[in-house]
Amino acid sequence: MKVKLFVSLVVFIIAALLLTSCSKAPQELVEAAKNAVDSAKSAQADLYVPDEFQNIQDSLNAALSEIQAQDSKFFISRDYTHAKKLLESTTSMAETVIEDANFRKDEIRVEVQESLAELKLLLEENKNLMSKAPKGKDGRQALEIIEDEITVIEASLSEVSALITNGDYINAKDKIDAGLVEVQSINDELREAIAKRSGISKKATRS
Amino acid sequence: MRNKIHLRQLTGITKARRKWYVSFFLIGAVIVLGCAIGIYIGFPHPPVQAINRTRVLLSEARRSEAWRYTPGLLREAENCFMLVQSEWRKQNQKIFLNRDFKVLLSLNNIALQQALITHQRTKEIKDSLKILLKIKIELMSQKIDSMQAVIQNFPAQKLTRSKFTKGSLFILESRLAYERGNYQEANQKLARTEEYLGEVYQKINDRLIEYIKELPKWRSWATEVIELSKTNKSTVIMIDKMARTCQVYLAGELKAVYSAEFGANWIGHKIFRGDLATPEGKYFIKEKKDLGQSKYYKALELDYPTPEDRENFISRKKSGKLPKDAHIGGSIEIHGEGGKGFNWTEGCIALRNEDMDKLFQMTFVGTPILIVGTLNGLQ
Repeated sequence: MKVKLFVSLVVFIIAALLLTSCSKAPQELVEAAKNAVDSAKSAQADLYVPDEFQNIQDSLNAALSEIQAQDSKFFISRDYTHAKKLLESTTSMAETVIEDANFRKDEIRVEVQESLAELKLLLEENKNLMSKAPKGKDGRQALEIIEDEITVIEASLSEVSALITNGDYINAKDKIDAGLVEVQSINDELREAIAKRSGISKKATRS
Repeated sequence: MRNKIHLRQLTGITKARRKWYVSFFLIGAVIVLGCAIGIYIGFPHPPVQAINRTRVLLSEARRSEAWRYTPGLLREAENCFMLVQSEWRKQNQKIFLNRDFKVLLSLNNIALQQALITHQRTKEIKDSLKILLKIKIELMSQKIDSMQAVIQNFPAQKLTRSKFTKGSLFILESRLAYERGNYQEANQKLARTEEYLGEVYQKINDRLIEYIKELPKWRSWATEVIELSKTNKSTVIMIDKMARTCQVYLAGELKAVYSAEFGANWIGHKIFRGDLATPEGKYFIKEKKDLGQSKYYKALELDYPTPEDRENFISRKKSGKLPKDAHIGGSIEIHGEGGKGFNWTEGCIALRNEDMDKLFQMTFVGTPILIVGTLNGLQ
């Protein structure tokens, strides 16, 4: 009777070992993790949160490597538990990364819109100042140069629109900020010229 | 009990024999298990640790932005690592006794080397680009500042000025990209700046080279006028448009140098009214206009247009180089109210009022005035 029990136990252990060791690679989890990483890329996470994006890509690669390593093992000793954990964590991390990328993108989008509004306002203000600026012999030449500069900056706004359409808010912001520096310097120049002229005319009135 | 006895009797298995069977089965199982463990230990294993090292190194290369600075090297390393994985899969599909990981190991060694090279090269390029760009952006900004002064006083065409503004915008963008740590973008924007400014520089240079072809003539005029001043112990005025100076010679010796401003279109000789050019040639003071007699503080009116200027104007008009309604200019003066820092007159020469006072005292009606493009060439 004892022997019978012992034999049954051995057979059960071997059967259990065979059944657990024959577990297959978690293909569904692999597909889910890959799709999650692709979705993060589509959300431009590689552009807006590059380090976080690299983390999920590394996690996916580590999981795939782990699966390969388990596939190499003798069938009774294969264990995909760690790979499964890695894949599950990749998928959940990717969701956070997408959220973070969208958040960062929104932040920059708002900054871009604000800067763009400021730039347009300054351009408009400069045009008004140009009508008040001195137009004597000396002023006419300077105004022509300023007008050309404003034309170039306005033309660069169309490039900004194209960048915004493509979702490249980082380069769009650089373009707007560069334009702002130029437009501000024109604004200062015009204000100075107008102030100078009003100073001269006050002096002339006194004498 | 009766049934058991009956079964034993039927199968003919005695208790002793049953024990022998069980022992045989157990010994067999132990042997099989032993063999399996032995084979498992003995059969070839994949270089998992080495492959993981390559994977980590590739990740580090990507983190150091190899995709931006050494994309070709990164692609090669990644392709090689893909071969590693494909070979690994191929071996895994075989029966374990048939597996051979030698090729996999070799491939991984190559991929590891490539990942290492990519990572190091990226770091080198990024570091050197960072240092180089800092210097280049600084130098380019200085160049733009100095060109700004030139372009403000250079009769550049609209297109040239637009290119200059575009270049100025790109250097600002380059600086912003640099501050963000995107050196590749900064470099590309700097290249655009160089491209635009290069075109502007070329345009200006070509025009100036064409302009200074008359340098020998101007120099000979200058020698002649200084000699005249020396011989007659008289005062002569020499105006250098490119140097933006008004020099006063007395008895052949330089007595004073004043800064001067000209017509906005100062390159070349004045041809017609409204061309915003300052005439070039030998003139003299026709009339001295004191305070109240001139529109611009004090003034010294030149004898422009001379008969030679008129002849030049008429021949150009006849040849169709000038519009039919063009008129020859006049009333060219050296006058005050200068010091604006750029060329703004319609063809006159403007000095600061204090300089005009001094010049006014040193000169008379008939004082010779020489106006040249330059005496120093492009220096």
